[in-house]
Amino acid sequence: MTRLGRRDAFLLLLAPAFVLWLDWHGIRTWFHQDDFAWLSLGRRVDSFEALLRALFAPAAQGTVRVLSERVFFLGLERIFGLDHRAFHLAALATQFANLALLYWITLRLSGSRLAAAAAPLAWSAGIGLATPLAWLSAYNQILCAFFLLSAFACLLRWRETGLRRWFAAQCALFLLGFAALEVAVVYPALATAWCWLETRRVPRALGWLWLASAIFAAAHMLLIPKPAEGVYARHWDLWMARTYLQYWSLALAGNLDPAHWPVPWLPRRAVAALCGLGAAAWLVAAWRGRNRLAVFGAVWFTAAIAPVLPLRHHVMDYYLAIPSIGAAWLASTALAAAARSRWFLKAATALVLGLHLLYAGASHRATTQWRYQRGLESRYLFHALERAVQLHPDKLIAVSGIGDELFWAAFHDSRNLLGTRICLDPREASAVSLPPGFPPIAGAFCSPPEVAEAFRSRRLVAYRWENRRLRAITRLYVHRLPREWQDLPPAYLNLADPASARWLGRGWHEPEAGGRWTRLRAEATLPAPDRSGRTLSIHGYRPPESLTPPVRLAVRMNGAEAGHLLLDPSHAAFHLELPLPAPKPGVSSIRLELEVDRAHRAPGDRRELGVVISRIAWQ
Amino acid sequence: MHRFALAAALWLAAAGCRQARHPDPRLTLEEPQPLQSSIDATNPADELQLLDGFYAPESGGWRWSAPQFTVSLGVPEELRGKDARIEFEFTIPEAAARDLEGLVIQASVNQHELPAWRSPGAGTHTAAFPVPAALLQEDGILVDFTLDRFIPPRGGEVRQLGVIPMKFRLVPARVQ
Repeated sequence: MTRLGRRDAFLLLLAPAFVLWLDWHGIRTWFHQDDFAWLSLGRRVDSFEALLRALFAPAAQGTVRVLSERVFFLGLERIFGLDHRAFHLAALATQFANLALLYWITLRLSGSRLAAAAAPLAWSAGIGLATPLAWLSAYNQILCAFFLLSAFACLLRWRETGLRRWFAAQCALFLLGFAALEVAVVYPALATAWCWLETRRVPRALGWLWLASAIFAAAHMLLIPKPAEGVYARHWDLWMARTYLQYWSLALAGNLDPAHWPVPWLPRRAVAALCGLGAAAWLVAAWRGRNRLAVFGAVWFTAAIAPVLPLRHHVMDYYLAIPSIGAAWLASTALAAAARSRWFLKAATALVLGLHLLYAGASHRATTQWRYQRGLESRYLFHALERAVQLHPDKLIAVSGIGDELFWAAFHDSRNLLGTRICLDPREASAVSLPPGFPPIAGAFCSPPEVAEAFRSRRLVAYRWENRRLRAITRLYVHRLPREWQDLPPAYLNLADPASARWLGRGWHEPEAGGRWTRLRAEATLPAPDRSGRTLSIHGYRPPESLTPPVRLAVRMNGAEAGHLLLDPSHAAFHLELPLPAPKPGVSSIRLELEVDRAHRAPGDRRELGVVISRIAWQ
Repeated sequence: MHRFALAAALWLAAAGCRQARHPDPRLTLEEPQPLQSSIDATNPADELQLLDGFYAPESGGWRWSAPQFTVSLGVPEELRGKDARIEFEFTIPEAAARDLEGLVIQASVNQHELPAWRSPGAGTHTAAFPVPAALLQEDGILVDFTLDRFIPPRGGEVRQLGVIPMKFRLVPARVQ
């Protein structure tokens, strides 16, 4: 084993210093996009059961990344609130540990301090780490890299010492990797590949790792529903080879637009081709020369990128965070080998590596700065919304002027942190595009009946996003409110509220504490739904002693029966949900009729009683 | 299970370490209360009553309007429920005289159109629009202005330009 000395302490600091320089914007980036969804997890935790649900219930695309998403966001948000610095410090600390592990592993496997110092630098310069260091929702990549590298370091120590505790530590770290990112499933392949490359035999104990991966993969395949369309749809076909090459191209030469190429006359694709040829030539030479770490680098890249190859429409730079460790080994071993070679090999290696670092590093920097700007805009909008909520805590806040980018960067998810209904003006729906396969975003837009009701009850506040500030425009907004909206009935009727009488037709008694009694038949008016997929919901009650034999409650919409419910003593308090028809041009309201087939007579009450309705709403 | 419960208790207690949040009041621009009955389009302090249809100020502090623009004006107690007049002071630069020749300005309050006003040509003018008492029942009004002609985009200018607004005033129908 190569022992670490004083010189290593200096070399170990090189990569962290480089990261601080390259990612200076990234590590100060504020929350954006999915960050808000994770930050809002804590808002729903009010009991031990809710905490367990927040930690373990499958979320986006059915993932359960307990440590890297749930514990990371829940814990830090709980302690530090919305102070992004605490989150970035945690991410940075993990990444510095990764860089130290990579140094140690490279030194151990190559015996070259040049390679050991170069590998963390090459990894840090690549485009794969730009997003994970800037976007906190991609911390899963950094934490998973930590578990994979530390498990691999334990494997090396186990093979070196034969002590079982290193094997046990490896298993524990590997299993923890599943709580960070699903990519951990490839670790047994990595461990097996290294053992085979080193001694041409594979220890039987690694079978346990394969078993764990097989169980995880099977559970993932069987239990997690996979989208059939959209960006997360999986395509198991030859296109995966193309996606594989696409990732190599991205890793070698970044993703900059022509306007931002470091050498304006040298296209990115040409750099990718040149670096690709150089890497392939070095790989062949390394195979022949038994440079195991270089070959292992190619295996690592391939195995770590394999799980995302079926996602042909979701090629993301941050998916390269872990595979790029393999690319860094290829680059660092080539550098170490070139240092011992003739001048023309030195020059060729310097040219190829220089171009790679120039293009990948420039892409890294550009990605980081883009994220930083996105975070900055999110921060302005979120704090402005927070201020608006502070000023108008119980109002409906209708916002306009939010473009597509800011909608996805901040508006859509950050509203959940603010506890007041904040929505976009429905007339601006066309300003926001919904990527295929994404869940519906209708909830982010106010519905016209909602605006009308807020206007009537003097709860409407309107703002327009201008120059990074929210400008109150309530007077103007109300002034320009379409006339047809102002007369829309509310989409939510609280029948206990005497004001609901305005929207009720024949067949209702006076309001009481929990709602209103209907007669045998009662009518109400609701606004026509603003889009397809809305559901009508009716909450009500009838005393159980009046439900033998059962009573039939029929619901009609605009004269046609839409559904019915059989009320028996076990369903005295009922909740009926019915799908609403799609909107029709020129139809602005729905006439709702509720009818029971038998009246209830209460002792001492001469009224004809149907059912008590507490609320009617569509959502 | 006890360990989980302990962890949960610590987690719940940790919230006490958070600092209270105080959003920056400068991040929202609230509507002025009360509204002023006289505003100067070149005065940044009055900007919040220039609601729509005004371009960013030029280097001298003046600004162009769009062909349609809206302002809010306060209705002082003494004008509430009485006939009044809106005065709109503006400039048509010589360079725009041809485009805006015969310009007619239409003003409306609460969708109620006021008698139109015809501009005599280039120069600084004050357009006056009588407002019936019925439209002045509340503490403020929104006034929409519409120009029947404008300077179309040309050269490097991509905006549709109206006039250069100076002042908007709500005054008694007959100044005493």
